Amino acid sequence: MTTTTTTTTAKVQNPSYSEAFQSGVREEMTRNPGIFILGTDLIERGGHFAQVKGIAQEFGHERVKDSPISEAAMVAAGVGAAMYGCHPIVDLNFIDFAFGAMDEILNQAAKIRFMFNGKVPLVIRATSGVALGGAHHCNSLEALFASTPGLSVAVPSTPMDVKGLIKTALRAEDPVIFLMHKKLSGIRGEIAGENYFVPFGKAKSVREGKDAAIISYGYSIVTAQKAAQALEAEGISVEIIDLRTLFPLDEEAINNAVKKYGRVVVLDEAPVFGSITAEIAATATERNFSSLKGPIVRVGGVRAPISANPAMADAAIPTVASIMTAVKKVMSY
Amino acid sequence: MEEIFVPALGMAMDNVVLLEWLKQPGDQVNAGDIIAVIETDKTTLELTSETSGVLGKHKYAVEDEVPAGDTLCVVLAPGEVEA
Amino acid sequence: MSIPDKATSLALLREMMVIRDFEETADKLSLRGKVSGGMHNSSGQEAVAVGVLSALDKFDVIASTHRSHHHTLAKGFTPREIMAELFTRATGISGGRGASMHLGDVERGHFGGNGIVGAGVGIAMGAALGIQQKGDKKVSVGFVGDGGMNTGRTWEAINMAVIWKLPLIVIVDNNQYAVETFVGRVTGGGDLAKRAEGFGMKAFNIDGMDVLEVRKYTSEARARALAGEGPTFINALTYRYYGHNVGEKGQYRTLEEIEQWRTTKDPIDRFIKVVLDAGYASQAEVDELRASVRAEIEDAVAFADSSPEPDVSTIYDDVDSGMLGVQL
Repeated sequence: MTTTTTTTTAKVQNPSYSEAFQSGVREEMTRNPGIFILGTDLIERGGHFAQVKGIAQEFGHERVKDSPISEAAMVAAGVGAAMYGCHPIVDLNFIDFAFGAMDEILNQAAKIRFMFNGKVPLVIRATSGVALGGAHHCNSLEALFASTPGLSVAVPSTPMDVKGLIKTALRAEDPVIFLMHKKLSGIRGEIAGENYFVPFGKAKSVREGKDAAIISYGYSIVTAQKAAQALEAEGISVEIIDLRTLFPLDEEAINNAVKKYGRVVVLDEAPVFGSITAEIAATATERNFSSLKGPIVRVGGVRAPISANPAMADAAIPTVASIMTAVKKVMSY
Repeated sequence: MEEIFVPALGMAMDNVVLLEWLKQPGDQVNAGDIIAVIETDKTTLELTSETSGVLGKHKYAVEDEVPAGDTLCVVLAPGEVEA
Repeated sequence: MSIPDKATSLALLREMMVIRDFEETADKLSLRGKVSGGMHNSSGQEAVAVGVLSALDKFDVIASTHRSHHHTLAKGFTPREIMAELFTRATGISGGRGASMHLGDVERGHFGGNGIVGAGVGIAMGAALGIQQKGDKKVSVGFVGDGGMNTGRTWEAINMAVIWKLPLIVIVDNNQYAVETFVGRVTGGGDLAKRAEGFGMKAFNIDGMDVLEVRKYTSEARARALAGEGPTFINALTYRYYGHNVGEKGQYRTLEEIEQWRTTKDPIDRFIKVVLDAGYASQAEVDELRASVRAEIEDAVAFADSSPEPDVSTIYDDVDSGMLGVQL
């Protein structure tokens, strides 16, 4: 059997999640000559998720730099160039590859502003999240980055937010970890024009509710919406709040949800021990204990590496059923 | 005048304990003589005089906790008197 | 080797004297608990710092290591602001946030000392990429110790500099001991310049105790970088007279070895001879120079000691810009 790649020129549909990223980057690169992209496999395939496809052809190889597989040097190159006054996007393809550059990210990029009278306007983009591909490509590292002073973390769930957040990140002075979920790569949706920016630290309500709230981000928003629809049929109305960034974290939106419903589920794919969901539950409980009708329930990943077997991979992360169970639990208080 | 002091070493050493005085006030001291022994969080250290002279007053007693950087005693050169 | 003019030569000598006096003074103060977290003394390595920095332009960029006082002084930072940083005072170059190991000021082209071995070369390589992206006529220098010759990321950075022909100069401030580990015992192949050549880099093993040799090789490397000929690797063999950290009394090398380097290869003594032989100064004038350095370092200590502590309430300042939460 053979396969053939075809290129469609006519855009009959809304842009995809990856195309939304391209759109935001393209606009900002046109505006700011200091922006360049550095990573592996960005020229022909445009990155493993086609996230920068066509940009090298449009802007040239000096602004989309084809790098060897040297994660530490890739991030260091971004850090040094950012300190010098450029605004690099280091594309790691998969966030799992950040392990090879962890000192450059956590110990260097994050701390330079604090000590050295300089700025590090750097975006580290990577695809994250649990999907097929097994243990080495499915780590959920967002809590590690969000808990490091000096770093910000974006976790968009829609094309609209991808574009709005990357544009903001490319106007900022700080290192940003920009995480795009594997399973969202192909989703389509509207995007806004070049003057639309999504601020960091501002969550968005993506579904109205009357009884309880689910606070989440990334691909879990999709699963949460399916669960909310099923719950609606059972007479339970759930609001879904998409955090969009994990640091800065929209504590106001979280507090408002707690005050409004007193019944809150926090959801993501990371193993629950030491996760963002732990952070949210603890903070909300400390701040608004008296508003809660019962404990905040966390739904997250199991404490196991992600298996390559599809059923085992699914079993490691929240499902529609497990989210419904959690919502019913908070409704029982 | 040479000050014999507890050296500040490492990233987390607050106090050390004075274990032993090997020289008494008024004793003749030769360069290279051990004056005192202290115990830090990692090891025991012998504090040695680099000069010769006469030992001044003990500023701490055995078993005292001594802050890093503090002087334990001085070695007086001929003609010097302790303040 | 040709000797620079009188003013330049005396400036090189004075800067090496400043470093030596600074280090020996700071070492004593560190033992007295004045330097938060201790320090790494660079006495013996003056020729590397002064040779390199004197061959650079003031707008060139450097990134350094955990042992960075000498690089920072030679870059043109004053003993006052560095001593104050060692004392973690508000007047220090990092406002007291960095102390001995984290001296840096990005705006003045110093991209930081570094607590992590090998990290500075990567950052310097990135700065070189920034210079290339902007089309500026500058170079970036990454200092690394012999210890950093065996960490993988150093070579990732070197490879990247080679393939992109970046205006980078890698200086191995090779004092031969990574804490207590002799470089010869842990370095496969042994010859560091050959190792760098294997990556396609122009590379040299040089005498790091000779300020003029270091200056010459750096100057040539800089000219190549500015001409678009790419990076250079310079392994400058030198020696540290004191322990890895203040107060260290190691048994990993003999007192005879230390004494031999101090008495036969000392970079300051050697260069004083050059200056005397050239007729640039008399012994009395050299002594006067040393006395003026002594006064400058004493002044630095007094400045540091009388400087205010940083205001603890500024702890959140410059963690990040705070911009990201703002609607643009």
